[in-house]
Amino acid sequence: MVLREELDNLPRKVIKSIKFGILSPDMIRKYSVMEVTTSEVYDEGGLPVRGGISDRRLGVSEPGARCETCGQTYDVCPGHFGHVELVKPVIHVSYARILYDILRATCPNCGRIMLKEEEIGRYRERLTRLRKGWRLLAQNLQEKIRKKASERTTCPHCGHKRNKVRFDRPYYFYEEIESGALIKLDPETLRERLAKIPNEDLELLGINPTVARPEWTILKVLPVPPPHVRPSIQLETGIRSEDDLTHKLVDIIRMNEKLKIAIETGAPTNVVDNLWDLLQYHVATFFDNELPGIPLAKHRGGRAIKGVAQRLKGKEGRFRGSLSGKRVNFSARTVISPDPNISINEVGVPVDVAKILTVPERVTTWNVDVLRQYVIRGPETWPGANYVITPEGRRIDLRYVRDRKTLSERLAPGWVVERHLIDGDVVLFNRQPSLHRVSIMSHLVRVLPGRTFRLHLAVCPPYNADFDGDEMNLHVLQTEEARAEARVLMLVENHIITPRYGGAIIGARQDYIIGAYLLSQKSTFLSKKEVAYLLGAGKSVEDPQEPAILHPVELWSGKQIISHFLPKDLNWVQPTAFKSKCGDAHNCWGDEWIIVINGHLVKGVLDKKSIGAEQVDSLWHRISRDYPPEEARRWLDSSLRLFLRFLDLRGFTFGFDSVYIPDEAYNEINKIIEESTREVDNLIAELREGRLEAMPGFTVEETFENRVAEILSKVREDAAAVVEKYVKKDVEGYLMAKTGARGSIVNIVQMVATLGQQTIRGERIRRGYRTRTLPHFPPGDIGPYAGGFVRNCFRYGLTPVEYFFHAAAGRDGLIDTAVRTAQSGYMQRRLINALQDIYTEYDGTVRFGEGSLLQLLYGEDGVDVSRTDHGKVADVRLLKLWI
Amino acid sequence: MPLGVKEVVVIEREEAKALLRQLRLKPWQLPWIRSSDPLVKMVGAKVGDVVKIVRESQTAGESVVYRFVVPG
Ligand SMILES: [Mg+2]
Ligand SMILES: [Zn+2]
Ligand SMILES: [Zn+2]
Ligand SMILES: [Zn+2]
Repeated sequence: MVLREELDNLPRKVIKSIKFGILSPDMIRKYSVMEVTTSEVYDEGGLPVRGGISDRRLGVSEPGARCETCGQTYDVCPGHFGHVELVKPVIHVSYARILYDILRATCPNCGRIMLKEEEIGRYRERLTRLRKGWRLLAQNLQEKIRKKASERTTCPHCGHKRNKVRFDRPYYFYEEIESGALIKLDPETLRERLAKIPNEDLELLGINPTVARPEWTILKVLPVPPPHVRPSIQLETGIRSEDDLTHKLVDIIRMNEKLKIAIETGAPTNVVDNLWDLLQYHVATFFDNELPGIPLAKHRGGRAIKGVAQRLKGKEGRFRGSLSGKRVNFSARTVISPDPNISINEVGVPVDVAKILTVPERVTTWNVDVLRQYVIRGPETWPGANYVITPEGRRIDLRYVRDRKTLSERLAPGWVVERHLIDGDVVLFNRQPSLHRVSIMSHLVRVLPGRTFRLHLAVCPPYNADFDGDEMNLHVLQTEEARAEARVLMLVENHIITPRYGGAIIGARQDYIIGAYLLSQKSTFLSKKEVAYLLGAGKSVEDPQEPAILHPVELWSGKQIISHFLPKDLNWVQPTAFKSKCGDAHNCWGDEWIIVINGHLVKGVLDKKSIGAEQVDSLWHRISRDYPPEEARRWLDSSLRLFLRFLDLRGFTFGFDSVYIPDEAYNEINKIIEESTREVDNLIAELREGRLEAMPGFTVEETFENRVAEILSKVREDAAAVVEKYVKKDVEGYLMAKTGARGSIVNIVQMVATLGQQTIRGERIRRGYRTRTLPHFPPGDIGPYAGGFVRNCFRYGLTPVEYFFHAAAGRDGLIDTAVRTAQSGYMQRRLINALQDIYTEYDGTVRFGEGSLLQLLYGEDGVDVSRTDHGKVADVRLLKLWI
Repeated sequence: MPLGVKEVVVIEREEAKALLRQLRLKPWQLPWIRSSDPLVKMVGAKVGDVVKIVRESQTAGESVVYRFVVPG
């Protein structure tokens, strides 16, 4: 443990600034410990060739050997750069674009910037002023200077008339002479031109010549990175496999040798130029092998070679893949499946996982007996232990301990046992994409048989999880501090309320809602046996209240059972989804209003509006806001289990017979459809005869489409009214829609009446053949049926054409989701990167990371939204962030 | 006066200094406003001035923002 005073005396270095520049050829030679002179890598004996790319002076990558430069072994020696003297210079691709800008702004004859002296003076003065505190504006000015200089064709200094420079990506430069012909500018010429530019002129272009002279971007000397950067791997067969960069370096050196020989033997210029261009190609692809316009450098097998840029770029690159995020220990990943019997705070962990993940537990006099048992059971039987750490810090792997009994007896305070995961351990649980804070929450472990993680259904919304094959990650916390933090800050029960608007994001859904509705109905009565069963399901140990009916048998109402679990001081009134004309809660004889008096549900049925998540002014909203998280969670846990168990007892099913409406209903629906199609037909006639008048801002065709869409979408609405009138009110589908458990009236209408208009991107279907959607229609048909109107329902079946349109509209939805997730994912990344270092200061102001001001008060009103009720502020004073 | 803006004033030099001291800010660490902005032109503020803008707010009644006038 470091003492506070010592902490202050620790030697520290402070980074004041970082400068980015370009290495000059001299610097490269100075950094270099050797010149690489041969393309040979190993000799016949398999030893590195001196002067080759694996020379021992660059450092060593295998254990045992010593570096010839610093004398250290591979794990201490940092490696040393070498260099290659290129016979002819080549362009560094990454700077080609900048070179183009510089070449256009300067005179090829005298090297001066193409500006008049007086302009130079003016700009220089303005630049130095701006660079002091207006870096952004200085950049804008540099851009302006560059543009201005590039526009001149005659040099104001030497009067030279300049030719236009052309840049052909990635690294070719040409000069356009008066005749229009293009003359190639080779790197040597470019180098000469760039070297002529005076330092003062470079500063005007935003280049700091002390660290980046432009001619340094033309490589005469290539640095050779040490083997640590490009380690070779020994395969089991004994064959050595080299890194991509090594391969590329060998290519470069080999081409350099060829070029040298060609020049020395006096080969014709076109041969030399070809080899020179090849050298340029190899050097370019060494840096970046994804350049536009040139072929990928490939291995013999056809796999693309990874350049330096490829190592850094993208998701798996050094920055995003190895520095911002990396693989971790003590984690597990498997498929998730539902378990309504565990708590929302819990997660079911397979035994196989629990036997691999461990928690380090310090031996004390109080736990030594238990830990001894774990050690004796060892790694194979759960709950056991995998490792024991002695007070000296030696780690004993229990897999290889013969006599675990003897070892267990040596356990004493000071030892650490890495025991298996057991019930009650705190773990983090996560589902990607981790878009908000409730994508990672802490759960308490329940070790269970099976091979999947078990998750309570009510916790699916925060993770946006379902069970169609979703996988989730689990992380075991390794320190007491981490466990304590996770328990207090991240436990599921502390995230029932979403920070977005202060409403519950966790709540009853689907089966729970329909179960609660059926249980809370007036007609539900339960025998003593059933009551005992249900209270047991809710894990209650208290006696039930006095039964509602005492004779001839004792019967309890469903509402009594629900009341059994409600907080005793809860009082609440709210309308249900079944509320129709009844305006006064206390004078209503039906179940249209929920009334809770002192924890007694005296009236009303439960539905999504009262116990669902994200419901404004609801029973569950009040419970989750007004009671401590633990109490709210306990209510949810037991009530949800209760609702589900009741649904099991009662039974709930939905079949063909359930979707039935009488013949009169069909007569009405047919009439609606016929009327609408006739209306559309009339509209078509108007359009054909040119009588249709365009609505303001629309063409005639658009007007037609709008009117048709309007008419046909009304069909579904009118049909819904008919269905609502004739459908039996106690049919399961209708109940589910009405209570909000699943589906809506639209689904029932589609099952029983008509599917209605099918759309692609919000419009009627019109793609397909030249003047019609399908060959089943006459050419030029723009009527309802050719445009994807489906008059049939699922119950009586679709025609093939209708089926096709329905399927097409279904695909449209899938494409839409795929596109949306990709777009919003990228936007999220950009927002996070831009906003990550914003914080609220202790004085209540909101600031950027370096301390500059964003807002004087959080959100300009100082309100903590997570403490509001769905964004509504009840009392501002209670909600202010600070105080 | 644009919709929702209640008040725009150029802060006195001394007052601005005190404000910046209190917030522990350099002038350029305040939010910026361009000198070409209609609000700035309206009160005749110059580059380097600090303007105080009071706006209506649904939740807070009114909200105050100080902005540093920059060229452009
Ligand atoms: Mg899924
Ligand atoms: Zn070394
Ligand atoms: Zn010149
Ligand atoms: Zn009523």
